[in-house]
Amino acid sequence: MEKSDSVSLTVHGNVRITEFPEESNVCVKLNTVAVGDWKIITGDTVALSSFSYRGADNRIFIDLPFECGLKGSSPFMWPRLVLNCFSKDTSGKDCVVGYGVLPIPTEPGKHICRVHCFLPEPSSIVQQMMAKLRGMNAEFVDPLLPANADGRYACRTSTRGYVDIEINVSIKSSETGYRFAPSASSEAKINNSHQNVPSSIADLAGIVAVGGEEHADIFGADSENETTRTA
Amino acid sequence: MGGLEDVFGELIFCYCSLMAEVFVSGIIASARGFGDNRLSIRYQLSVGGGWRIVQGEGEGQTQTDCPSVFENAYFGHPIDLHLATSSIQGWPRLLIQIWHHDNYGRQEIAGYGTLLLPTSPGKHVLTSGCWRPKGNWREEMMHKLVGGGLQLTSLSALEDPTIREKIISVSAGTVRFELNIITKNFSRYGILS
Repeated sequence: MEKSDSVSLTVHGNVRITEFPEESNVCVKLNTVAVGDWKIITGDTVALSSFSYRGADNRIFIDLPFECGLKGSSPFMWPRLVLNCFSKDTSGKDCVVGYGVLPIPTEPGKHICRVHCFLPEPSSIVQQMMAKLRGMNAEFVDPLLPANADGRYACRTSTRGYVDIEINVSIKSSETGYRFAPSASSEAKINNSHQNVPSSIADLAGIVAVGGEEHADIFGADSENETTRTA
Repeated sequence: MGGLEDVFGELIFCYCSLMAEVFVSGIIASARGFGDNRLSIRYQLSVGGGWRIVQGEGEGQTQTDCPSVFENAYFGHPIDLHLATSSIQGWPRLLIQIWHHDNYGRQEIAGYGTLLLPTSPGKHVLTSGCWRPKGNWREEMMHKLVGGGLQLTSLSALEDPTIREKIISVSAGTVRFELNIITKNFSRYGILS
């Protein structure tokens, strides 16, 4: 049984705001992690923002746009975004202030997700004081560790802040049978087929948010094709 | 035994084009209401007879989160599962144990809970109100002063209501999971969800 690349995912997003109560400035590094069968076909895997300091209303805006196209043979191990957050101290040295992970939503459309970022706790009070004096927090050896569930149970962590990300997801599936969104749209289709009169422009053009529907095959799934032609 | 399971897994994979499948991608997000919320969450998947775990770990444990800046414990622990089924019965549940870690390094049960995997595709936020077994007044006082409460000897109490109904419980906190569900081939079997 050959494994064809049957699911193609396009993500357009923007890292909007972040809040780390103990920090005066934050820089966010966004990694797109594709595990197993998934491959990144367009876009950069890493997006790095600038160091943003707090403004007059005491908030930190990151405003980092990113986009990525991925292809996989099965929805298992859906790609995820791993965030590394850094902060610059008064002497100009960077240190990590948080690690976070966000599984990319599998429902097509726009999502606003809040990712809480944690930092490993120092293992003793002495370590804690050393970290404060040197201005360097404990870091993970592998910055992409939050992407997986392995090896987490031994860690003690503390959550330092959160990042709000706006993500737009488009999915094209060459295999019928996958359902990514609740079937409110397919119920509308059942009603329409009884009347044989399209009730909206979307029905007329056959544009569907969910790939792999039978109607999409008839109309050629035009709206989904453009997302895979970004290269 | 590992070899036999691999062969079985391969056979299941070949038959998957005929079976209905469910993909889960999500995280254990947070927990709150457990006192100081120094927690780790252990989950286990419980499925009915017609279901098979094709890929992914059926159980896992998160890191221990010790809240310092926020009040709630946040985990961000990814859950990835690929399940195949020949029957709608016995839809998978997650059986959850919430373990509390105190300043002295001791662990005790803070609560138990169950979550039903959503049956419809899309993005879901699931919360479970958790409970712990209630002892008599002496046991409750010891739990409050010294720590270390009652534990279940087996998780069958979470799966079987006839066992669960005999356990008097105290409500503890809540846990929150954010799961994305993808279904496959359900329409082929004529199932609307």
